[in-house]
Amino acid sequence: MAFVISPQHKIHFHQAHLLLVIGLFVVFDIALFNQWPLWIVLINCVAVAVFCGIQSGRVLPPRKYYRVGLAFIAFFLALFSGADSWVDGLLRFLGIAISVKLMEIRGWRDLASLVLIMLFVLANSLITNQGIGQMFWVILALILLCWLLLALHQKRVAWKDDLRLLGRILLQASPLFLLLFLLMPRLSSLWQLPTSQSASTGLSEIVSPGGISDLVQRDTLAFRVRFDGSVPAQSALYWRVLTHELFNGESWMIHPQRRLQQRALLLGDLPSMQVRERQNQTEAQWLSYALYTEPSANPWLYALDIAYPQSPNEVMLPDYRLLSKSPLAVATKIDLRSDINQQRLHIDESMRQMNLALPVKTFPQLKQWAQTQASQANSTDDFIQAVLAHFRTQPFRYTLQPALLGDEGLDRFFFETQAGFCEHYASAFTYIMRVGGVPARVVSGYQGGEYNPNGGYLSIYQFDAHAWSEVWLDDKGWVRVDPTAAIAPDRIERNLRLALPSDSDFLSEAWFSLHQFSDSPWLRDIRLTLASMDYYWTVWILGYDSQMQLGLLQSWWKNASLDSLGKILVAAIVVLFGLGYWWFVLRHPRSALPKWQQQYRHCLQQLEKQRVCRVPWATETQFADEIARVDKELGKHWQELTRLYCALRYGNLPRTQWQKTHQDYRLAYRNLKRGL
Amino acid sequence: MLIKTQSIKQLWGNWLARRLPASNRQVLNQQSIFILPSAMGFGLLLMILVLFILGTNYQNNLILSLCYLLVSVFLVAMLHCYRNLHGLECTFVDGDAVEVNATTGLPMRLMSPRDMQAVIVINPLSGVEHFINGSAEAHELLEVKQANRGVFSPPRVTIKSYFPMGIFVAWTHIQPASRYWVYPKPIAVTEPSATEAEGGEAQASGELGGDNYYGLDRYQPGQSLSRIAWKQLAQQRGLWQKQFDHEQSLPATLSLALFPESNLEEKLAKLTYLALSYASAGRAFALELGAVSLPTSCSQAHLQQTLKAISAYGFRYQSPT
Repeated sequence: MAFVISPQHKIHFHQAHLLLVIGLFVVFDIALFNQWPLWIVLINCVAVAVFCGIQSGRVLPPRKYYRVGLAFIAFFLALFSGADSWVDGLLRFLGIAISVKLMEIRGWRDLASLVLIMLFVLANSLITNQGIGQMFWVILALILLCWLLLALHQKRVAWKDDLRLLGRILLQASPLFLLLFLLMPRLSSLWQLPTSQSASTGLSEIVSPGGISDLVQRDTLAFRVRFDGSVPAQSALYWRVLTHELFNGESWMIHPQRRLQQRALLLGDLPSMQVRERQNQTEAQWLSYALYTEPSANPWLYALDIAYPQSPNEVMLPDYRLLSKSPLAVATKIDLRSDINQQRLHIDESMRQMNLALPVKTFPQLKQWAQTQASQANSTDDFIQAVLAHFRTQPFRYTLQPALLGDEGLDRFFFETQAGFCEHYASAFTYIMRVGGVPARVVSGYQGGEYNPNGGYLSIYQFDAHAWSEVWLDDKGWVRVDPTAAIAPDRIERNLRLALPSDSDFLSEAWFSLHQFSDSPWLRDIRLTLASMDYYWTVWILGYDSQMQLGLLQSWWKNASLDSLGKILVAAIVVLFGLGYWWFVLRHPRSALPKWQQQYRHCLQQLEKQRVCRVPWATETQFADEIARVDKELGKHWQELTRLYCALRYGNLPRTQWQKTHQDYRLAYRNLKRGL
Repeated sequence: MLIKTQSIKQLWGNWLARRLPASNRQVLNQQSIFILPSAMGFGLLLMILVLFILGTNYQNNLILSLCYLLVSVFLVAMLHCYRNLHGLECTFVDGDAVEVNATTGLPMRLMSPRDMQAVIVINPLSGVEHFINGSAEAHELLEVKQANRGVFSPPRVTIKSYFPMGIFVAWTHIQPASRYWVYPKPIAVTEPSATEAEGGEAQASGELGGDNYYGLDRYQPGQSLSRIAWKQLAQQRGLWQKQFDHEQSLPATLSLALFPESNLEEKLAKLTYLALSYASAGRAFALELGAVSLPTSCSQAHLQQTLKAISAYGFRYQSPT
């Protein structure tokens, strides 16, 4: 089609374009749903509605003063809306700016800036959320953006043709894209940008009654582990993260001295504690595994005791905890080796005093009971066993919603309510031990994990969070004692879901979690498959770094190095571009005639070779009749072909009839070719 | 300062003339097509850089892959944009003679080996833009208008396209070698012999083609069909042409000598009037104008030639550069 347009710098949106814009903004808001508060999404919807109204002529476009005023309002809204960081604030401002810009689109410059801002915002949404779903929405929004631009420049929307062209463009772009993704050298961070991370869910430095039971309501992934050999039993999987050595009567906290040590260690002022492997290696139970951490603001690592770090990036505190020197803001893979039953024999005087300290607030009943037990026991071992026996025999319950303990605290818990979660039991046990003169501390971390046969890895979720206790025995060193094992052994042997009664509050915040349905095998399989898709996504795409690039290169050439990466990439791009240029531009262009006309011409040429020429003033039908007069056999085929040809060319047939005629024509052509 | 800008324009014109000489049939190729990112294309390049820095800083593979995807689409879009115009064949033909201050359209045909997508043809004289989308062949009229008499060639025609997504703009300025003739506004002429002879009663306002039939003459090919004696033809006596009396009194040859008193432009304007009115009455005439000498005829082609000769008189036609 061709028509005259007056030189206009104003874009005209047809109705179909408006539908496309609406679709684009729906996908755009879905992609940014986690990033923006709800009111920005609502502003977006209103802006789209106003935009459609303006373009269809029902609403008057806002005047300049309104627009400037709106821009100012947008700025102040974003400033004072309680964003977490300036990056968050910037994104909120951009979100509102997009809405304002949409309402005042008139020319191609406005559209260009809108498209570019939307691209930037979409990219930013991938900083915090890197899942497959998020990438899908971002790519979909990108495709819709391209479609909109295509349709606007062609001044119409023909969705089949547009999508076909878009598909072709994306297909042609994919070799270069793959090449860049696989071979483009990865530079290290130029400078550190702040993350816009909201408070991360996970373990906290303070273990208070109800702390862990709150954490257990979420089904977020904490980390993943891949074992090099077989996976140990569930009851051996104690992932040690934090030690809490200061008790204030209600909560257990990280001791300030330990915190100082942590800071010094991370800064490099304190050397990492060196642990020697045991002399009798035949008794050692070595496990090799890789941790896949999720983005986190804390440097804590999850390890099975005693874990030996494999790179200088991991450092060990005197309480046998591992920390990561480089920040864990991105998902990281960390290799570790652990000797499971090696004794932890390190203690010094200050640590001993720390772990014997009792809080100012006393629990007289419990204190008396503990002192009685300690004096009655022959050794520390017996003391511990006696306390655990008491837990086992008395009607203690394991529940997510214990009654509030009030001022009496542990006294009330131990003698009256006798119901609590792991933090209550650990807290009580550690207190009892300290009263009895045994250095003890509360340890928090994760226990267990779910094995996914699809990928061969363990997934540990937030609901696997656990608190237990550690005591110092003079002959054995630091020994783990888990009172929960005495009260609810199912929790340790299997998992939390099976240990709690069915009416409990487990995963109350995660209504749609598929973990709820772990009883049904096929739902469980679906969940595991989705989880392994996410795992492979994390390992192969999110975790694709220089090491993996080198590995890829070396699988082709033995002595490739990272420097050759750049050269290979440039060479590959040049080759690709040359190919592209040849394919697009230099190839002989297709003839302007459609195929069936070319076929007819071909037949005419064949006849010319046999000295039968068509005079210029004869019509096709006349020519066919002439041939029929001369050669009956050939003439019959030729007349049929000519009849169909004229119908196709001059008949002005509707589409379906044209297709049918075309099919008949193809048949006739084949018959004629055989005859010729 | 003015002189400086003038010379830049001249330089640009000369460079274009060397690269894109005038021709009536041009096929666009690398010589003729210019391609650059549009404003949005440059913005996209900037955005790609920003995303690359963002992705590198956060060590975020997803943002980097988005960046690479945009780079790939950018380059592929460039190839598509170029290809859209490559091989486009533009054909021009000479226009007809047209009066001053009247608009005429110069035919232009665009043929592409594949469908043209979002191709814009801009006529710089009138500023009108023709938009072609989805067809392999298009016929456009370039509208031109002149205030002076003479022979002109149309200005450079701009063909540009923002296909596919407005990231790149490919354009070319082609110079047609076609010409169009502009004849002067006719000035009405009263019959010189009529005013002298009869005193103006029968021939009021120099009306030609009266009814003083006096005989028949053999019909010559090229003469007007409105004078044919149909009765004779119906009687199968051949083609005869009626002859009228006063036709002999009106000049059969147009030349500048007919109007000794006017200046050149007025003379030409009066000649134009005569030629037009003869043609509308079906009278044959000849033309003697400078170097041009046309035999007696009354066809349309003869009229066009006459008008063109009148338009071109005194001008040395400069083919456009």
